[in-house]
Amino acid sequence: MFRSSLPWNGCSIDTTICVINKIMSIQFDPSAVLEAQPMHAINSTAYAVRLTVDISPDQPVVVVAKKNEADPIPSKLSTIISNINDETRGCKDATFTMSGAKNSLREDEKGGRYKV
Amino acid sequence: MQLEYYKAYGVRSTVHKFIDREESGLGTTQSKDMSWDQIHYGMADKGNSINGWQLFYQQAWQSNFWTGGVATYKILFEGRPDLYKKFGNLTKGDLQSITVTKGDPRRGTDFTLTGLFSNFHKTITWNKITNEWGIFDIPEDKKMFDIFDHDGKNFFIKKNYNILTSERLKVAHNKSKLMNGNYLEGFFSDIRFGVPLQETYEHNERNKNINKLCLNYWQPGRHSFDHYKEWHSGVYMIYDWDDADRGLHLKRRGMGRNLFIPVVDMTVESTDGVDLETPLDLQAGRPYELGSDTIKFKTGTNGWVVHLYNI
Repeated sequence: MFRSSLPWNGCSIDTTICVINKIMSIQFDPSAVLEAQPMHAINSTAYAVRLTVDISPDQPVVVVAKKNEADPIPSKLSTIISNINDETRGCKDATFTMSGAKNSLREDEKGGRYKV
Repeated sequence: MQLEYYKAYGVRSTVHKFIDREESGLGTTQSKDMSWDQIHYGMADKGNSINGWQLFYQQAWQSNFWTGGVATYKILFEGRPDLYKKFGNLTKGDLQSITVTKGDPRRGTDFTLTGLFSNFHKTITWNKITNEWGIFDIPEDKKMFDIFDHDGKNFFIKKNYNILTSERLKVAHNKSKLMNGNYLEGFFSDIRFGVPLQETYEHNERNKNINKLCLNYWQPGRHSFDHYKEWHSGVYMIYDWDDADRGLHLKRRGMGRNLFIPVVDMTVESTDGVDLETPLDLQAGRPYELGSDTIKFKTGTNGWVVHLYNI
């Protein structure tokens, strides 16, 4: 799933997959999906999906899913989730945490309060 | 590429560092290897469409930007011709109706703080009416169809982040009246498109070590968008202007907490006019609290700093 769309080629495949997995795990966690509802066809190989995840119950987002040209837009949740574009990343935290504004640090985050 | 994550004071920051591998001894990386193609999600409708247009939705403060180079944002209206037409027929004045809503009454001014294009993004965005960077001189009745490129299905918005190495900033300074000294009020946006965006970026040879940052701000312990009324955001352009003294300082603003995030590694030389015994190195993307009234960066610094302050 992650190998097909490497956006950068500067690091080793292993490192890249590691990085992408890391991004995906925080940007899009399939197990956190509550609802994935197809919206409209973007073109013959892509469609828009309204996605609601359990850490952001009050703010669904619109993401892009891919499909084969001949296939119809699927209705099965697991198929839709597997179609969601690997590159739908971005600054997820604002939207995904606005209701909770989590204060805890993830293990990959550097915290610390520095006054200058 | 190297990834770093920071979180402090309600600021969450993701820094993508594109390091020149030749310079760092890791081997040659061609510029084409440092390109970027990413789809950003849009906001789904939940009855909170701005002005009822179904085009924009409110979100938490967020900005996603580069420290150099040019990025193109394709607004993926494809499959929604109704929204494409609706956006295309909006005038600059229509957009103004959602961007100029947050003036600080205590200042008696009505400057733009946030919106679809914050002042910062207005300064770096290409317009095809005057064929230049910046959308300040556009008549209010001009439509999005006139201002931005489009292909009959999607819109394309181009942004130039090379602001510190050109004369454009000075032009913006003179034309837009948006800047006060080296400070540009209005950085974060709290409005997002309802459709996804595709961002493409080609690395510029001139910018060998470049960062891409994603910054979010949500004050801890707050539970509605209303708390943004208590905050302003802006950008300090830190570099040797014609008047170096003007360009190297960052000053306290407002009456409360001041936070800042350097977008590249920078060094503080003095605080409140007193030279530090040991210059202080700041890390790109890390949030800092301003404890002084003024800090001065090292001569030769070339970068900008995102600034947040409690009014």
